[in-house]
Amino acid sequence: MDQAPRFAPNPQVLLTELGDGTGVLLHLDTKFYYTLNDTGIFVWKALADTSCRTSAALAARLAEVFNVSVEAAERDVGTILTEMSNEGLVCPPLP
Amino acid sequence: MPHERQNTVSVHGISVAWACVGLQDDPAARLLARFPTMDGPFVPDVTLVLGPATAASRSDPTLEGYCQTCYFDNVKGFSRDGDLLLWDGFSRVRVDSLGVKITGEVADPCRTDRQLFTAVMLFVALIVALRHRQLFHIHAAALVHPRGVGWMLIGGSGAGKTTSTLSLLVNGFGYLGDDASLLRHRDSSVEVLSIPREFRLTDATLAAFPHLRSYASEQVSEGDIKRLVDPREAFPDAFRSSVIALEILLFPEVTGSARTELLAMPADDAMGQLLLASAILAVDWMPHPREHLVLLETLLRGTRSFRLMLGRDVLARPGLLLDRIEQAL
Repeated sequence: MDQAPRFAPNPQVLLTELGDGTGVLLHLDTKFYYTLNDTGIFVWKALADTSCRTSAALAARLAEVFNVSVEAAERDVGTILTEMSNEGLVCPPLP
Repeated sequence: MPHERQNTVSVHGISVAWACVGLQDDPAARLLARFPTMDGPFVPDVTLVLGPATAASRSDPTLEGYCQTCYFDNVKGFSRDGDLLLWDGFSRVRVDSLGVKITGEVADPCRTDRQLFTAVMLFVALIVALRHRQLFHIHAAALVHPRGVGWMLIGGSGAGKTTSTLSLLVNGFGYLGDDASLLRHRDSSVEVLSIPREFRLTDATLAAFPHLRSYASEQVSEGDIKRLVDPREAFPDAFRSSVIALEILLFPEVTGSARTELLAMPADDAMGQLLLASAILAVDWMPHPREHLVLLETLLRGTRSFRLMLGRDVLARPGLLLDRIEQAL
């Protein structure tokens, strides 16, 4: 059984995708908003997919879609998930 | 004589009936009387009833289980089970959880300034009730170009919305309003709707438009430096109730530089400014935040966004503004 931490979008956070590939997250509890680049948008939408909520699964999908190395994707995903966790945008990871 | 007659108006298709019971004046009329009246027996979509404040109106709403969720100037907003309660310490206005009934307890004018009661407490209550029917407020001026397309000016107080609005009116634009508008989905687009009311001008703005001095009121109230100008008198025939073909979003700011400039604005910056101008969507218990965000996204996708850096040239000669914008476009 996979014991890796699983992340999930905070249901109080709303995504608005913009026409240029960027997007904005609005946190309804804290009232802060955050801008996302295309990688951030990808990770956020992938988190909504219940089969893709571990860091490793996200990195594998990111590497495939953006045609980057798995190592680079893992670094990016790690950075994004850490920032999203710190801001309460994703729920605390469940084992 | 106390006012007790019921009036009904159509706020862009939403019927709003109001009555003042036991009051010497009618604070709701200033907000609602400019909308078209409706006749006939029917159940209104929204009912607003105002009466005199009591001793209980002054008690802290948190003692009744309300949680404070927001501020609107010096008015505190509270929520309880989806209700919104607005309280300035003396008067109260409550919107029920369905946005169907607004009730107000109005203190003496020496306690609650009538202008502020209408402009803040009743105004917020109305826009919350309208949210339930997916008409969403935005802190923005809305204008109609002589070509028939809509332009919006979005920004907080002091950003230059009214100065820009007046400058464009001088150039033949129509107006929906200088400070607040409503948005709603119309097919796959966004329709902008007017909230007809007076323009609010500082003396500095009046100095740039001296022909408006004869229309300007005394200062609105003690501590409020603005004066009211009725645009129906100052710009007859320029009023427009709605516009659907939106072309441009302008985000003005007064810079102090010599020349006015127009700079293309990235979508995420523009979205951030739209959120600030629509801040009520993030208040706890506010209905339809997701639908409101989709509307803003649709608005942004269908328009071009520019930062309007207002320079001294336009402040000295307001008629220049349209030239400056169209040259840059």
